Amino acid sequence: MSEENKALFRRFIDDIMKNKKIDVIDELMDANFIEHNPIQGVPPGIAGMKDLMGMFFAAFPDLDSTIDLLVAEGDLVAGRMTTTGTHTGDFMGIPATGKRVNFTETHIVRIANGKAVEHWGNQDDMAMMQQLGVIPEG
Amino acid sequence: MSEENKAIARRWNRIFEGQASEADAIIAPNIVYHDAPPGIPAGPEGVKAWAAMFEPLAGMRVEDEFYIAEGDIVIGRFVGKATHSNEFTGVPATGNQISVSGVNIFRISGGKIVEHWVNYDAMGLMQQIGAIPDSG
Repeated sequence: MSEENKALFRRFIDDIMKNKKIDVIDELMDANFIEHNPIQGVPPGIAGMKDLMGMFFAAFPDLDSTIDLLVAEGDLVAGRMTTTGTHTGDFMGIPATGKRVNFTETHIVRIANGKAVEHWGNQDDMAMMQQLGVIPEG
Repeated sequence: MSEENKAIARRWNRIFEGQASEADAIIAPNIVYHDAPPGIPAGPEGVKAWAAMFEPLAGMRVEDEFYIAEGDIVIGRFVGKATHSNEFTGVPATGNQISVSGVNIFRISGGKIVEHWVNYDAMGLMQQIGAIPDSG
């Protein structure tokens, strides 16, 4: 069970984030998905996740993410990742800067019947916004 | 083993609630802090110094949401709550209530934390004290 849950997490990173196959979201996410850390302006559920990923891919076409650590217990799986990309498109109202971002994130997913049903996520937005020059360093 | 490791991991948040001495019990002298602020001391003194940076935020409570453990790793999701009652990172007190989520990751060996990673909503914290605008 835990190994299957890890495999689902890895598919999200490999198929969606790395290979930009947005429709894989339909296979991996439950229709009643609960997002505990919603992002302003992003609708809930599968449609919202597709919007969010599409927005990231347009802003950072070379977006890449590496899983640094992945653990599972019961119906929960958690992964720490390092994500990189080059800001060549509009990102949440910030016009392309050409700058490179490199930040860490940790995501926790609850899985039921082979689908992601709940998500908690924390990413280093502060580092990313500093790297984009939107907010000052330190 | 995993349950023992969770019990150790749970004590970390207490350090940020003012129980600095917990650090001496659970932190290995050679701990690697992957995400700590630059310049903190080595070993247990490091997390004590880190926690002290949050002292201007009164009544800090770090609520444990849940823990996940496998092998020597424990992951703990938390919500930190406090009042911005003193100057913090150069921002004068606003009296604002702060609520910030995050995830700690610990590697535990020999009953001590030997490695620590964290992702928390530092940007949300800065928005809640009015240091940066609240914009998606």
